[in-house]
Amino acid sequence: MTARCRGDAGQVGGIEALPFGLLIFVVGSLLIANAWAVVDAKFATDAAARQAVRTFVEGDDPDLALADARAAGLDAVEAHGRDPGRAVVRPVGEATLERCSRVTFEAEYEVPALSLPFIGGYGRAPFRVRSAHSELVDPFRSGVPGEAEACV
Amino acid sequence: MLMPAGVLVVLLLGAIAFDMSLVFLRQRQASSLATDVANDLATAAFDEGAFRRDGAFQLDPTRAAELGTDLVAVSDLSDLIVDVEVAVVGPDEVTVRVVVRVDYVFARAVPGASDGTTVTAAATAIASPG
Repeated sequence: MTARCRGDAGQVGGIEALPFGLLIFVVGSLLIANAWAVVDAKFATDAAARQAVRTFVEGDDPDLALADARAAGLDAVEAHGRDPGRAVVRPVGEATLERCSRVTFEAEYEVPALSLPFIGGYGRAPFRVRSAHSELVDPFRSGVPGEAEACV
Repeated sequence: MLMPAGVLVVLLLGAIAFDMSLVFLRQRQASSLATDVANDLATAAFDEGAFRRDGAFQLDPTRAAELGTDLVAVSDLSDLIVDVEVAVVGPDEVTVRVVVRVDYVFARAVPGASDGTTVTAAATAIASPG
């Protein structure tokens, strides 16, 4: 009797391509996953910047509006399942709660970058995903200083 | 032969999913932009001269168009804007429609696939006292 699976007779040539293909698959998957993490963070920073600026322009107390806007932005980051500790929500320039003033808020989130074989780094790591959003303070709302004429 | 083909197919599907998520991101951004610009214009484009003449709240179409274009131009999406339309559709109602270009990331590497697409978002705001 002859034992089976002895020797390499009948071995398929090029079988070494399988682990290499698997490696390519893993690297490609990690590349896509990391790129997706950036897009997902962009969703969160967009929402955070928008919530912050809306909270600010709808605020009543100029002293509290800034803190409320930051808190609303960080809450939006958390609601997207992200760590608010890695996010920064801040006004661009001076945010003034005055009639017709344009208020811009920026949200930034740090996404760690994977270092992948073949591909290497993506450039500057970690990624800083940033979004900005701006709105006008309603020219005809009550409770804020300034003149509506200044809007023209 | 099935293993390399399977790997390529899975990677290709992942790349398509990523590019589609990018389209969805731009769609949401365009929607946010249109909503916020319409919201701003509902009061900022108020025609004060007409109000002093006849006491009626009315939006100025020319001012709305100029201001709307300016607001979009300073937005985060300004580099991707293809078209902006601002229409005063009632005395106190304004509609903003923006068309945004989306550049694919992975699909560009696929022969025959397009480099990108466009997404459109529209929003209407009505001024109301309160």
